[in-house]
Amino acid sequence: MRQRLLLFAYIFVLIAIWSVASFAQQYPFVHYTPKDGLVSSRVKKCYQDSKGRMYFLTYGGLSVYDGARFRNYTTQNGLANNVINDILEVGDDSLLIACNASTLIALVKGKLVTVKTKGISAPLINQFYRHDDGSIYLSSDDGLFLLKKDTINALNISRIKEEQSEAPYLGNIAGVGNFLIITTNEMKFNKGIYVYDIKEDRICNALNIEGFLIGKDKKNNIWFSNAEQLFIVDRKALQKGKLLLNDPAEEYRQLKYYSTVNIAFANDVIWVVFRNKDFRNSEIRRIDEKGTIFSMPLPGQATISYLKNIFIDRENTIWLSNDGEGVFKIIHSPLQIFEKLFGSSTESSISNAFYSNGTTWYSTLTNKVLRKSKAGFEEYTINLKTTFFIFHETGNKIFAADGQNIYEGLIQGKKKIIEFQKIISLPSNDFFKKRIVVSRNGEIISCQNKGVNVWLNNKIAYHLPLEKNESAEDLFFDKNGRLWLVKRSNGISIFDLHPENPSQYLQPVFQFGKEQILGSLRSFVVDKRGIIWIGTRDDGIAGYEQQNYQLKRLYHFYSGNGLTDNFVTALACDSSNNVIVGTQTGLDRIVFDSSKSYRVENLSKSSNFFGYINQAWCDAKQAYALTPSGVLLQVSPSIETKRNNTPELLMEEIKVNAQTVSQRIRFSHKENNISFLVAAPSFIDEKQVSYSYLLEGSGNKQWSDTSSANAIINLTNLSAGNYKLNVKAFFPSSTYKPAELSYSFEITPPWRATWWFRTIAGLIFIGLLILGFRFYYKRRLEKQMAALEKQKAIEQERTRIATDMHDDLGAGLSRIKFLSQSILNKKGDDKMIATELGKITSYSDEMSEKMGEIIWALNEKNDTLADLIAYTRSYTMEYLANHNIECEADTPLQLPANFITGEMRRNIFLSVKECLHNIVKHAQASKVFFSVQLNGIMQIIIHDNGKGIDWNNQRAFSNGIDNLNKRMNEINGSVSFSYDQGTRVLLKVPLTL
Amino acid sequence: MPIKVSIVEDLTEIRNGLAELVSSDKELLMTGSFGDAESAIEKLPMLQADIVIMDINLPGISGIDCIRLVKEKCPGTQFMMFTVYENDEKVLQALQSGASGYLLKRTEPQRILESIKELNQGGSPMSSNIARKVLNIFLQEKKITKKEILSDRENEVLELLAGGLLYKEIAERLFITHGTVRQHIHNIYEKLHVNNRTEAVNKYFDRK
Repeated sequence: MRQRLLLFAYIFVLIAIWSVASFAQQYPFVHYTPKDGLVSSRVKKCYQDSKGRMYFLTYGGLSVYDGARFRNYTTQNGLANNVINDILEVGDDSLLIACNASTLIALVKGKLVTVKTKGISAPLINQFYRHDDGSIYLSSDDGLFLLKKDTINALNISRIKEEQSEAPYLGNIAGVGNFLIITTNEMKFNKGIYVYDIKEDRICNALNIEGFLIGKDKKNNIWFSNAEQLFIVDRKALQKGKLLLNDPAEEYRQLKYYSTVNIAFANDVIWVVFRNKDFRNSEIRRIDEKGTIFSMPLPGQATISYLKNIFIDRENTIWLSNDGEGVFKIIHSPLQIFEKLFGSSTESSISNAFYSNGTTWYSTLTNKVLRKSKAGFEEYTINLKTTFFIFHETGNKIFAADGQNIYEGLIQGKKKIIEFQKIISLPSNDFFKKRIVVSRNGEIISCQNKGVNVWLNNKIAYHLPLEKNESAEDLFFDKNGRLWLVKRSNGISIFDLHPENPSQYLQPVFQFGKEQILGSLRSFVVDKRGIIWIGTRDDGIAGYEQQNYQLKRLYHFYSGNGLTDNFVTALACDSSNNVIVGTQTGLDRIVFDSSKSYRVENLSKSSNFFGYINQAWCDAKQAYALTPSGVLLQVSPSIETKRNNTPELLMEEIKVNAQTVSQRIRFSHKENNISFLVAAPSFIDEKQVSYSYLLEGSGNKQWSDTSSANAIINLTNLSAGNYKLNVKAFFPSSTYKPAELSYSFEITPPWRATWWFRTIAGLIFIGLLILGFRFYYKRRLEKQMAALEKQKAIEQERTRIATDMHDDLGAGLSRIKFLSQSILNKKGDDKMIATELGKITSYSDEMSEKMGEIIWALNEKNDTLADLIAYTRSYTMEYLANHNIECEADTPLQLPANFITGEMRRNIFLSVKECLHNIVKHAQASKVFFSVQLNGIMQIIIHDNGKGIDWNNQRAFSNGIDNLNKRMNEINGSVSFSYDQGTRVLLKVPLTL
Repeated sequence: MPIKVSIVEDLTEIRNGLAELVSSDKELLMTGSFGDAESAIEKLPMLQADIVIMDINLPGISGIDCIRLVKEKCPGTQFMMFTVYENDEKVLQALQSGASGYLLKRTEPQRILESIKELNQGGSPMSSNIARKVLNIFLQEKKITKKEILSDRENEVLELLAGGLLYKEIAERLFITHGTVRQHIHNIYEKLHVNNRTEAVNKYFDRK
């Protein structure tokens, strides 16, 4: 897991500073010039809005700095003039800008607009002044004005005008209650100071002195400065309209005879840019309520040009506006950098430091050493000419070494002299490395090129050779008195000391093999928890826990998770058990709030200092580090001080396809490359403010990496949809919680992908489908209808035929019948004629009957199954009765009224008829059982008690059987014969009921 | 008292043949025969025959309309349709219009005479086809008026008849005589006429 990079800066701890105040110290400052994005290097003053953005008012435009970027406004963006006189926040993201022209400009949500004022047109405004009652007064070249909403009213300052022939050229304004103090500006050599009565609308008092109205401090005192000194306006007198200048309060005694225009008022303190006897700005002084002065030198470059303004922002960061050199920011940092501990001579710079039991020895490149103890600083002159380092102090003796020799020195406190004597020398093919320790018994144990030596009475008592190409990096006594030999390549060897047997002085106990250690070892420290920290050549620093003679890695810090550099050159552990990490490019501190909560502070990087750290050590209070060139870095302890207002994370700008657009929530599908420019204005170390974001709606559920580069969030090729951009800002200080921002927006789909279009398209599609189906079914229905109509026409035709047969043939036959009957009646006695006539009658009856059957079968009106069964039944009964055959019929009484085609009706009826005919003609039966069963199929059983069918002589009725088969086949039915004490005919017809 | 019989038949041979047949029976009295409906309408009310044998297909006014027009004026007359084919739709119409029976033209002379006498005694013939249609008419009527128009026994007879059973079978099944079955059917015809008239009256009032 990637650890969040957190860098921090700290509250000033004054006491810590005073303790080394004798050093020539350099405060870290940051210099902003047009190279960094500033609009012009001629800066008049700074301003901060309620959201924390810094505004730099220059002679070349306005710069807005949110920590992530400068946004510049000039006449090209809509300023009336590039000289910016003043700025005033009047609403959320709305500021009034007074530029050097008779136009009032407003900066609203990052856009310049010209304010159209009512009343009189805008004058050339020099200063905005917001009075206690909220009224905004405008001081201008043309007079005093009151701005109410968008109306400008001129106020009566006729007295000034009377006294001055030209335009009044008003400068600063400040006021209390009903009275405002106004001055004329520098164009008039600040001549004259006037009191304006708001109620009476007139100038009520004046002092004819040259001076500069500075403004109000946080206690509502109005400060005034003239060439000699600073004054405070007498408030009580002013409330009566009188102008009276008093000396500053006693606590500000230092300012009593001091003249400056560069004053900034913080809550409890006043900051002034102090000028020396030559009236040159030399340092910044901070004067608190008790009158305590703290001073820090001005950055050298800041004194080159005219210093126009000092501004203290809400984080107590000092901003200096310089007419020519841009802006300087001086921040409070735990790190203090002392470039020259002993003044300006390069020779006297520190080469080495040795700390032991509250005393720090600084060795130099000259014949001097510096001893720092509770008593303070003492300087000693020494008799060594080589570059040496001190490694041991005991009583009044001190031990030092250079590459070839070890010296013992005698401290002569009164004379401030140390005389060194050479006690040990190495052969020329060997040399001492940096680490030499002294055991409890007083044996000197040294790391050399060729191994480790134990010296007893200044003679080699024991020599531990090293592996080839091995290098001893450190010697360390653990709490058990064991000696740890820390080697570059082969891990750490732990020895027991045996002074009683010098030939076996170092006895190996155990070893942490190189396989347990990450990287190539370069530096080493064991912290108060017993965590073994090992700095490496290329892999940062790792913290190990010792478990059963094994190292278990608990922590790993490297450039990827916050360390300034992966080459760790020096390590130390401070009194709060934080790990001081010196790298080849700077100093870091790993701060542990708990074993699981920790952060890496890039101390030197955030102070814009970069250098190789040679040595790092800690005394009881602070941590120190030294560079090869002798720069001393002093680190104040980490103090948790919660700051109240976490800087707000702001959505500063939105760019669509690289063009700035207004902050809106809806973008078209063509505007799908969006850049969100965010910032969380905090200027303690704004370069280290880092951002991480998560775009909800994109499917990505991972927060982005945390980086300062994410101040610009580029989202490309977004598909249509709803999104929520969540951004977090992390500050280089544990004192601020991360700031968060959410911005919901929508990429509208192209019209062809909108829901309504899709709905309509879908409906149209469904509609077409329905129409298609309907057309298809209509066609099919039409076809069916046509077929039905055809069928109906056929049926109707049949009916017509039936009717015609009935009406005409029937009538004819009846006529024949009755005619022959009538003849028969008349010629009753002629037997032959009677017989013939009887035949005619009988034939006509028979024909009539058959015709009736045909008509029945043809007639479409008899089209139900019930008709068929009932008709067939009654026919069967009558027919058999007529032939004196007993008939038992079993047909269902509840007959379904289902439609049955004429074809089926005919075929079934005629089949039954055929069967009955056969029975009458051939079967010689006396009884017939007739049954109809309906069960999905229609089964008709005609069972006689006759002689059965003679299959050997079937010619007689083969025609009939063929007919039966044929009729049944036509309607997908079947006929089967069986013999069971007579012929049993089974007709099966499938029904589609 | 002989049964007074009138004949309406356009075909001369049949009319004469039938008239001869009726005349030959002493129990029957021919009281007039007509070749068309128009003359029958004019004369029948005066004749007040017991039985009128009516052909359906008459030139001009049909036999059915003839019954409708005459029925009111001849309260004592029963109309017997004379048809080639009993399942003719027109037979049903005629029965609804006031006919109480029908006679097939192919029927044997002796049987014709019997049928006339049976009808006069209150017995009517009905084929299963007609029975089913009549049943439907009464069922629909019941649906509209929600009243039982036929008696249970009448309903039973009608249903059996509709199922294709012969009079004889029905009589056996219901333990009644053949004549009772005919009587039931006669009553059914009467109710059918009333029903038809009610319908006509209803229709008349609906139009208003």
